[in-house]
Amino acid sequence: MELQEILLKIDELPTPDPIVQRIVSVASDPNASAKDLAQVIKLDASLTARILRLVNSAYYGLPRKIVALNEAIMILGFKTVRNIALSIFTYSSVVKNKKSTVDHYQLWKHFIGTAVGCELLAQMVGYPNKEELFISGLLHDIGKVALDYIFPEAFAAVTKLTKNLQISFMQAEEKLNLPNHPIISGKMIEKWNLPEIVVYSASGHHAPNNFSESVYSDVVAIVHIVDFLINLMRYGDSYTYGGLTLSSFALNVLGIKPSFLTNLTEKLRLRLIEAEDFLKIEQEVS
Amino acid sequence: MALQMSSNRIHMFISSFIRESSNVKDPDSLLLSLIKIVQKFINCEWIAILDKDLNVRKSDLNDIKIEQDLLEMIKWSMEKMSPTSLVKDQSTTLVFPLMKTNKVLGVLLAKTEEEPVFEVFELISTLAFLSAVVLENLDLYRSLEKQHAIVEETMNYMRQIFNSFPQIVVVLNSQLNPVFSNLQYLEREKEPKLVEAIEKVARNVLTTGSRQVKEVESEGTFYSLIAEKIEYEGETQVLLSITDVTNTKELERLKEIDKLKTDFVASISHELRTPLAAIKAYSETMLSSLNDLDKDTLSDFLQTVYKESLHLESLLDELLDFAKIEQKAMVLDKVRFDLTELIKEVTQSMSELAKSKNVRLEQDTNGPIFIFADKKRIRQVLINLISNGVKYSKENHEDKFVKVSTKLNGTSVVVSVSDNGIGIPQEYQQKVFEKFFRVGSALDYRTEGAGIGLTITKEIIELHGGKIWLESRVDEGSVFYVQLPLGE
Repeated sequence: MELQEILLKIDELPTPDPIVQRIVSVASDPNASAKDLAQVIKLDASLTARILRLVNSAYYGLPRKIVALNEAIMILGFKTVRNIALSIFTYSSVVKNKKSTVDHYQLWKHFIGTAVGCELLAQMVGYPNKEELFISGLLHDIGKVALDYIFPEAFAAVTKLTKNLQISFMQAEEKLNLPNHPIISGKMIEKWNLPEIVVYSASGHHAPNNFSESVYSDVVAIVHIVDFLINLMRYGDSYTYGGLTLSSFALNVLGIKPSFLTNLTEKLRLRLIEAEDFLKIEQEVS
Repeated sequence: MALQMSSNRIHMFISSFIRESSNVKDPDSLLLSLIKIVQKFINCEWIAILDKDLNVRKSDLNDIKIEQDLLEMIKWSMEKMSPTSLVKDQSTTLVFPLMKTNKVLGVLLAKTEEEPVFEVFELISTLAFLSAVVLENLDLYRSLEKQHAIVEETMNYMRQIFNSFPQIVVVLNSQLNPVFSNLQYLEREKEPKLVEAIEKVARNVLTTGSRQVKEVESEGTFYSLIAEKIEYEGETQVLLSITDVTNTKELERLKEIDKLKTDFVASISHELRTPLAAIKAYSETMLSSLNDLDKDTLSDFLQTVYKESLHLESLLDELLDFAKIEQKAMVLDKVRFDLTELIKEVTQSMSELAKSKNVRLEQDTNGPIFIFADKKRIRQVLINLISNGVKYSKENHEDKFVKVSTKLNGTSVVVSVSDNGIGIPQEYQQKVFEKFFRVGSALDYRTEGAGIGLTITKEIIELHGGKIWLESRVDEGSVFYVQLPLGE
């Protein structure tokens, strides 16, 4: 199957609903205020309720309960609220594909795990724009969801291959002559009008070495390292069962030593426990 | 209404902040310029920077009050390292943690009635982040400076201690150049003998790797050198501590002289006792058996008493002379006389003594030599040298001689007294002129004398402005040379 065919089919994929799209665009408008963002979100009562539930979750650990959306945006910032909205939308896209045979919960767990890990690693290495890294981690494997939508049979074949041969998703895609999922992820993120940094960190997460000359080399490295760790920790399931290697180039870009990864893994375990509410997005809001 | 900004203005803000922050030398001025720049693009009631324990470190308004519930949120923001804005009543408090790689250094608070747009928020975040980086560097720089000052102070302290040592302390590197030293070394580093000794001993330490000890004399001072190896920054160096031992040496010398004096008293007592005992014994015999002795025996006895009293007298003269030398009280009574004649007189007067030891006395002189000197003292010198030659002849030798020769040499004359006696070992050739010295043990019964003859001789000659020296080989004999100015 050719990339072009897939790309054509991507257009058929569910795009974020208009409200999420507007959230994304308001959150990246330099002249927008908290009120502007709140007004958009408030149009969807269910989304508002879910956002507020996540805002008050252990992941953000606020000292007091926040009841007003406006306040939530002020306190957590535009980008974080945008991230929550996007998480909710992505969750629906992953889980609501009824045609598929995939264990969506495990795949979602991989997404959230990587998102949380990327934000944590960004903070630990002193990268200021850590909120964007959350989205990069969240969407780095969205290409897999696209494949599952467009060709559930192909996705099933890939997962069968990775399991039987103990190889990575990429290696299986190559064996089956399928376009690589990071590239599809990149195309989708682009289509959703998310910032370039998210596009590149997702599309490059299996080839950090190709970004040695790029301004995005550090964010690509972050997503690469966290994706590797989350797979290693067996948090969720990305349908990769071997063949993954950690790029020493990525470690060098961030100036970290392998021993740093032990520290990161320990902190990540704690963060993942705090992030558990992100796994239960579908639960009805009381 | 929301505050809006053009990208031109943003660029201008960042540029001027970078310019200001790269010029600051201390954290306070950095924080001040951060506050100023925030003031420029947002109207604030106040702006404050708190340290990580939430104490106000810098602000544009005195007496800032932060409510308890806000403090809770500020702590949360710092802990999560997430900038936030807290709305209370009509105003908003913007909170920007100053953080650098997982470390929070403080927090910037700005209280405003305006509602900041997304961009302003992002910009302040960026500035706060930049400030934290600069702040940490400044802190590092300051702690480095502080450490530097401590190191400097410690160095001075150590130097003071080293300078207070009476010892010389110096460290040489492997190229033998001094890399550390105290004042005492700097005062003496121009003394070639000392520096040479230091280098030599240091080289030995470097080759053997073990501690070395050496003594050296330089410009009238005796030094004891102790050198050992030390390691510094991977290089082997040599630490030397050098002590002035001149006083110790002087003390040792005085102790030695003291011992020689004690020996001298023992020896001179013995020397005086021998003739005295003879005089006493002969007189007693004569007194108790005066009627039984014939005239010849009596004469013989009296002869011995007379000879021994002469000997006693000469010993006492010697002692007296020696005491004069010690007190520097010897005065010369100079007259003009013929030295050749004097030598002839002396050899004749000593022929008896020479004969008794089987020694031939020879004179090798050529015509009269007139000299202006103390005749009595010169006679004393000749007697001393000739009697020494006779005294130290080889006991069982067939042909023993002592020869006196003269040689004119411009305005001076050299008298040489040579013998084929036992000779003087090389190591004693200088010491024979020292007070109380006798080759071998201090008490040598085979020879007689106070052991001060040559000391007196040397003194007399030097008082005349002359000098004395010797050449000698063990078992072959000795030559004593006396050079005297002819005078007037």
